[in-house]
Amino acid sequence: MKKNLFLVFFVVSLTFVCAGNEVSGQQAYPNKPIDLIVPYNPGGGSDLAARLLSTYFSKAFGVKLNVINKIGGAGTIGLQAALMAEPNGYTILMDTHGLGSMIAFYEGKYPIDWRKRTWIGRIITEPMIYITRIDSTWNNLREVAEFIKKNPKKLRFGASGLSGSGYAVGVQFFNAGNISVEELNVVMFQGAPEVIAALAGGHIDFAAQQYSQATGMVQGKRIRAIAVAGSKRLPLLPEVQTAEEQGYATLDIAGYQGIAGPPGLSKEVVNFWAEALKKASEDLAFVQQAENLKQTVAYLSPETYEQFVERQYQEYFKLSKKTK
Amino acid sequence: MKPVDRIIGVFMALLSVLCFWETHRVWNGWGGTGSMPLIVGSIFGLLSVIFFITPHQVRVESVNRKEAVGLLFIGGSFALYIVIINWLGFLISTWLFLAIVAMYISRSRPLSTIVWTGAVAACAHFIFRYLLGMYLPTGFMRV
Amino acid sequence: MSTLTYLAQGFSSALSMQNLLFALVGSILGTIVGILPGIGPTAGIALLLPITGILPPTPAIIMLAAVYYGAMYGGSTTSILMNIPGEISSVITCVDGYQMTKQGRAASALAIAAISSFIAGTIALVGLSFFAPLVVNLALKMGPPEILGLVFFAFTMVVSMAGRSLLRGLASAAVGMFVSLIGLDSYVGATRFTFGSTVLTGGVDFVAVIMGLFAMTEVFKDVVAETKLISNVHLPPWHKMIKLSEIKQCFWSMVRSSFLGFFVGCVPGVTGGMVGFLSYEVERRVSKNRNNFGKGAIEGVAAPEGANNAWCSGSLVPLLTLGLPTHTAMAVLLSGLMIYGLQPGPLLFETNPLFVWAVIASMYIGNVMLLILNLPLVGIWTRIVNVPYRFIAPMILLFCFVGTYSVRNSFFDVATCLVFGILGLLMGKLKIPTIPLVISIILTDIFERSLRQTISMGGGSLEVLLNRPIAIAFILAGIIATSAVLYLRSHLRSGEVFFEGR
Repeated sequence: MKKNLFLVFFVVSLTFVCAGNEVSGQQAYPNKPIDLIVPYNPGGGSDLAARLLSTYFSKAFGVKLNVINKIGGAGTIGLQAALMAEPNGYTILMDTHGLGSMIAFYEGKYPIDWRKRTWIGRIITEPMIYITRIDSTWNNLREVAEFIKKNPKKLRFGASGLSGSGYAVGVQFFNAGNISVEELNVVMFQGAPEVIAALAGGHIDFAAQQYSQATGMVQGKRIRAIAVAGSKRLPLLPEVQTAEEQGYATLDIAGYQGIAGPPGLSKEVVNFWAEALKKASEDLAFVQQAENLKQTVAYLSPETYEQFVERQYQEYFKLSKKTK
Repeated sequence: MKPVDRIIGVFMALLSVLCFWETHRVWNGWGGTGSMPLIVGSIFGLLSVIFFITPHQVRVESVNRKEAVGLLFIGGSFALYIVIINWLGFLISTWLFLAIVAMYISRSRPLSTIVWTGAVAACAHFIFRYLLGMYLPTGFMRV
Repeated sequence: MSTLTYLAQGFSSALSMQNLLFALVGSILGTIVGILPGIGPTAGIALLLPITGILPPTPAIIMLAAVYYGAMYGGSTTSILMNIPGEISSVITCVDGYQMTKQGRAASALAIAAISSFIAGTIALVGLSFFAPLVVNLALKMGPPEILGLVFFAFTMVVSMAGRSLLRGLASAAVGMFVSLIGLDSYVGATRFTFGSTVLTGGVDFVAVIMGLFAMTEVFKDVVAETKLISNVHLPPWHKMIKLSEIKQCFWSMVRSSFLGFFVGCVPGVTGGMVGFLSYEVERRVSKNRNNFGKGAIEGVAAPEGANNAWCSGSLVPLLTLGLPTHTAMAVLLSGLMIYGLQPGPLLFETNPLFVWAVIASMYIGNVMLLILNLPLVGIWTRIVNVPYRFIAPMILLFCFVGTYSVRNSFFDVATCLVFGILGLLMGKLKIPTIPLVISIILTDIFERSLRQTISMGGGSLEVLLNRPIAIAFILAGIIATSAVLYLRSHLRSGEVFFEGR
């Protein structure tokens, strides 16, 4: 009698356990809103990309993405918050070059082990263009290089911070022309608009900035674009040559926006996001909205994304060695 | 010259030393990272010397007991609020904090105080969380 | 088509029911955002960005712009009533505004803040409508050396605001500079004074410092003294609270501050914090009532409040004419425009004139709406001030908590607020003024940046300044002003000259 009772009890509890598993298994990820951490100001490239994704996610999957701006420490505050969160897939990082490839410029002084993360995918790249004062006489990059060589310490190069893509793209050019940073004056500003304004006012002579930020002023004839970094011409500035055409093999992409998460994310989470990003990159409305913001949609899967960032990092690392 | 001025002078001198030390640590040329620490360090140094030298007729107040207690209580509650909020969540910690501070100030009518602070906490919760979409910590009770 | 014709067309579009409604909604939201300390217009606009997915461009941008200048109206409310700056450009309003509240003149302060905001805002909008291209060219010519000169001039305020002991005032300013340096060097990303702590790498948030020094210190002091703010038994209805004589007294302050705010707004790189200080300082030197500044001079409220609204319109000039955002709130607004595929700049005026002028026209209307909204509110706010302190004090502390937390979701900032609250009390005992600390904490960042930019431009020295007459003019103005103050201080030992604020 006791044995039978025990058996019944055993079977019943086994059933419950299995049922319980089934129930929790049916609660697929995501079953509640996800926090997307943006370590930068609202209105910036990362923030906009995050909001674009947020709009898309609610339309396509009915999933709510909370865009949270955790600002400070040039991105370190937000990065740390995201990477130290519980790896349950409900805290995700809006990853960008400032939190990955650009860290090369910090030369090992970066306070966080930035490689310790789950790489999920890239969604956007930002083309860069080389710009000069409206009244400058240079027609292409070669003439700029010649000017620097003949007039050391005269050219004023503006950038929006050492960890900004503008600086890196500029330095790439200088390296290609065998120019050391010592031969020119680097003036640092806070953000692309300030650099562009300084250029328009004639306070600096040369800069490299995001296509999305500079195009307005180029079209308004306040500054001139003399080259596009990379090998593809840009839709809104069709007459501007590429650096490749001018004989300079510079990096094709300097800025990017992607998704990453704390280390140890489950396969289920990563797959969901990778699929979602891929779908977004194929969605016409999403691509159009990104184009409106002058961003190029360029999807990369989790593995290729990690390789891409690592490659960029190594490039910048080489650059940073040369500029010191 | 009052001893208080001397203490301030010492404090300024310490800050000056700190600034100079940091200047040395980060120095990378004029117009570089170390310029401002250098300027500030020099200012502190100069000020500390002046604090020691010149006689001053500024009358300094002292802290009386009542103020100290008040400061400790309210400051302490505020500090507690910061610590507790991640555990209890915004709504409850805010209610507790408001109730404690209000009761300290008024020292009477505890029941009505608890009620109105609860109402305020609820309003704040509603306004900040739902109306403005702010990211406020939820405690273990998920509130 | 002339500008007037465009503007008229813009008005007819802005006066449509839909656009009026959204302007109103935006204004109200902006006012709320402005009243809440810590949450500035940037956050407000960012919160509303998703609206661009639902509405067509004109009402959406009208609403976002309304949030922006609405916040400038709301920012003065808590500054005046509770000594809590609702918004960075209202920091200096606390000084005279709160004194006025303590003297029972809160209604006058609030009223003049609203009226000054309206008049200066409207004058600046006229500047935006008719003089934008002209002014923007001038503004672009202001580079790092000129900004350095301007900040230097603003810094010399410290000497005027030092109170009885210049030495203590300078000490306070120096501490402010020190605190501002903690964290990352914005130029090259090197850490300073962080001692390896990641939290300190983010720097000390100046909102937390100001809230601590102004609001929390005041709560600590008042709790012990058990003061009520004012206790008027009978308060007249709002329209009797506003005196025409006071408006006349401040008229020229309003005009001056509108020109100053408008122009400064057009210059990229100048922050909102500076605007308040600059206008206050200029007004103090020029006004006949200068001896009362710090003790509740009404011009001390009119000038910064007018200037910050004019600054609002001024910052729209580079945004609309060049597509250049001069600070974060503008950048968010810009992204709102870009989401619609609208690229602001000269092309925008040509391809979408109706849209641009509708937005501009709607801003005139918005200013009127805000005036109509805020004046009756004066009656309500002053009655709030009558509420017994045991209700208000906990709310102020709550404000401090949420306000400082909301800046960057950081409890370290809240702790900073507490620390500075205690420090403020200590400084009060030691008779060290807190205003110089606040001034320098706001100005040091931009001072260092312009200094280093100027040096970089000149290849390692300050020689570039020699070729810049405007920059030299500002610097000389600062030196002359400081010398004048120092002269007066040493020759007139009577209390009149000294700034008896805090």
